[in-house]
Amino acid sequence: MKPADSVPCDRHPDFLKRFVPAPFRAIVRAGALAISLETNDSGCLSALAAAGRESPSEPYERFHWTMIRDEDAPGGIVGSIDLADEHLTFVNMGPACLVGLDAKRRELLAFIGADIDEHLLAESILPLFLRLTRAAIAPRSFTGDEHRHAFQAALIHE
Amino acid sequence: MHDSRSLNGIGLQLHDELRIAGARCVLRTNSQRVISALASWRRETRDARDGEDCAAGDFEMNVLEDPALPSAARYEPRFRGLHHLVFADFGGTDTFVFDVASRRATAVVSSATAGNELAWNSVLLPLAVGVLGAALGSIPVHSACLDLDDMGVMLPGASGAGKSTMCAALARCGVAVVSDGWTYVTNTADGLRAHGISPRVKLLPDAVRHFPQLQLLAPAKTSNGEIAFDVDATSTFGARLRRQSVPRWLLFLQRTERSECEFAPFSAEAARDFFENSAERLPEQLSGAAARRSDIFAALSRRPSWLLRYGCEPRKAAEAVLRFCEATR
Repeated sequence: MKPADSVPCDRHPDFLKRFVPAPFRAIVRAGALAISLETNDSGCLSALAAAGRESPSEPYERFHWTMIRDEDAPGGIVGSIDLADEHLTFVNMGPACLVGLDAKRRELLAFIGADIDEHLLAESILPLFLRLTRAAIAPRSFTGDEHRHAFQAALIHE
Repeated sequence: MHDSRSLNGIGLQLHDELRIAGARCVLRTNSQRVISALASWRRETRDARDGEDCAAGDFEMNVLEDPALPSAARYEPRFRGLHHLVFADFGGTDTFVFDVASRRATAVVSSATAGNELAWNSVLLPLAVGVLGAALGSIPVHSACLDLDDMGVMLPGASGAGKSTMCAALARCGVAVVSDGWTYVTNTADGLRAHGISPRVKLLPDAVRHFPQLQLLAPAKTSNGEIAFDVDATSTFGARLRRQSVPRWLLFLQRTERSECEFAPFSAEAARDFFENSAERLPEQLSGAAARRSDIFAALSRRPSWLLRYGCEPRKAAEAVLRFCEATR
């Protein structure tokens, strides 16, 4: 019998979309936070920049955000299921917005659906992300308006 | 609608210790339904049935039953993952979050799901071990596995290679079924083990030509979206069920147009390439898990391997496999 040297296979499937390239990066100052952002959507950077203001001089805490624009997740925000377990917080707002936050690793990881426009991003989603981030480093409550003008895009590059 | 559920500081007062696919699971929940649905995985139950087994690794599973959640219409998950976190959403109701680095699953489920043993065994537990497996050392392999007198016949192959068809044909010949689509491989002090979670077999609608048992059933949309018969191998084909076996033969499946059944030697390097290439990529945050997975792939690939090309009727192919195993045992 002739030895066989290969068989067809499904090569390196990425079932979870973990490896969507995220070439846009920024460091964003938001009050006492310094958020390093990675994203595949320049619109996310625009939304942050639009919400920016002068950077305060106070000491800051570092946090890392990864935001992936998910082209396979249509529709808008449909309610919310929040789940917290020790250092993890997860918010499920339907297929178009999934976010997980790991307070121990200081990371926020999110998928944003294709139909979520920059207005909704700036008015609802980014404030939520910021609220979650602040709660993770210094648990206390924030008002809905507090973070609207709290961003400053300090550095944006591709 | 905005529903917050914190598992911090509330009583997940019910605890159990489970043994699933060679891994030890510490279960915490507020739900007696969950405890009952998972009772067959209790450690003492498993060990008595399958013999003591070294656990590959531990994981935690914290499950909150929320009676306010509606039932999932179908167990059709949508997955997303970044870095060490993985999210699984079942139609906006049942929600699972996995921290792969910490080997922890956190879930909120409806009361209907909490008590649905079939959903746990056929979808939710395979999901949990599939996501956490690399970190646990219970590695998901795209392979069916059957047990022939305590020796495992593993049938790796790409989608469409005929794993389920061959699995069903061997089951009809009286061979015990360990798993169909996914097998979980551990390598502990006891050596290599191939584990199964679900005895269910998925067969495409045209399989009815070969298996008359299917004529009374209707194919339906399965959890990965394809239309198929999703049947219990034990009740449909009269198969015996084994939860684990010791891998003895690796028969890599490949369909051929020719009406034949041919076995060709398959090198350890080629076997390892198949496992590595068909495995899900892991992010750099899980590099330790990726290395552990590669070690298990390497150990598994050293088992005797053959390429099995077949285009003949499944029953004939199954009989050829049994003759081959008898001749090479």
